[in-house]
Amino acid sequence: MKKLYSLMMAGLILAAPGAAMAMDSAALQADPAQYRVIYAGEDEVIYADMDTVRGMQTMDYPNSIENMRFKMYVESYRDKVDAADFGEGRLVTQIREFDAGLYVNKNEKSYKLETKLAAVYDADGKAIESADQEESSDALKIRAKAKDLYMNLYHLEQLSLKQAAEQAAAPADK
Amino acid sequence: MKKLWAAMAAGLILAAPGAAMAMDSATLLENPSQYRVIYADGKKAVYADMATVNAVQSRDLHASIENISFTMYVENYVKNPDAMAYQTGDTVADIQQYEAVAYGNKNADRYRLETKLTAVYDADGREIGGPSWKGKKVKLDADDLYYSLFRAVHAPKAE
Repeated sequence: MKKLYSLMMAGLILAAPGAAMAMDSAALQADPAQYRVIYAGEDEVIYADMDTVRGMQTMDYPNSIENMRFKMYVESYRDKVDAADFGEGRLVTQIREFDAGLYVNKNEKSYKLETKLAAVYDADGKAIESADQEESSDALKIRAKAKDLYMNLYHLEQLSLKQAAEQAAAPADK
Repeated sequence: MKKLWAAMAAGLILAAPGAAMAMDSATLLENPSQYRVIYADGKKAVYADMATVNAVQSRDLHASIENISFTMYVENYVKNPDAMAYQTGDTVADIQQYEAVAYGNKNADRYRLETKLTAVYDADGREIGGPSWKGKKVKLDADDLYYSLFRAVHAPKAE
């Protein structure tokens, strides 16, 4: 029995670095370079964690198919608000964390988004419910369409490529 | 005549700091703390220049009325870009610059936006129009951007 507990503890320790970090509204707002807004409207704001973006595209010219994976945070705004909600920072009701995949065929102009709910937090970063996909279909709903997200994420990807090219071209410091 | 030229030159120098700076896509993207995204979808991204924000609030508890003036940039995307447009980076149709004021009645959850076009640029920052530009101006709903604008204005400043 003791061995079993030891094994379980070891497993927990090994698993910890891969575990999801809690996310709160302040962190999303404080680092706009890492958490880029890729959709924003009356009901929700969607952020892409730029540290997690992985993209691949076909090698034809022009690269007609592109797939991207990234960690996505969806902040939902309260339906009806009053001045106290503004004053006391209660505009955001929850933050949903998704593992997202965008699949784009640029020639056919088709855009597809796949999401897997990973966690749900309140505005302060406290986990508020299970991330079980089956538990509530509402938990999976987002207003943004795949094209909304891709158009904005594409521009950020272009910026990263430009910055990488400039860095590579810059003469090394002596 | 000499005096007139001198006066005109002095006027130009004084006017220069207030003159509109050209804006391009790269600048908007490279400075996310200054140019905050307050609305975005598949057709456009709307940025508030945080260096130009002036906010005034009523003095009641929770400041129920708050009006925010700012310079707003609207980056309009090309409609239905194809693979070649993505490849060549030709996905931005224009960047419209506005002097904007968002009026918020937070108790009533009612918002209004007034905008005045000041310039239009292409993606690389070349001016393609002024206040009387005849192209299609963007239509925005204050409800869509007031929450994000408010949060950007009141966000803790980075160290």
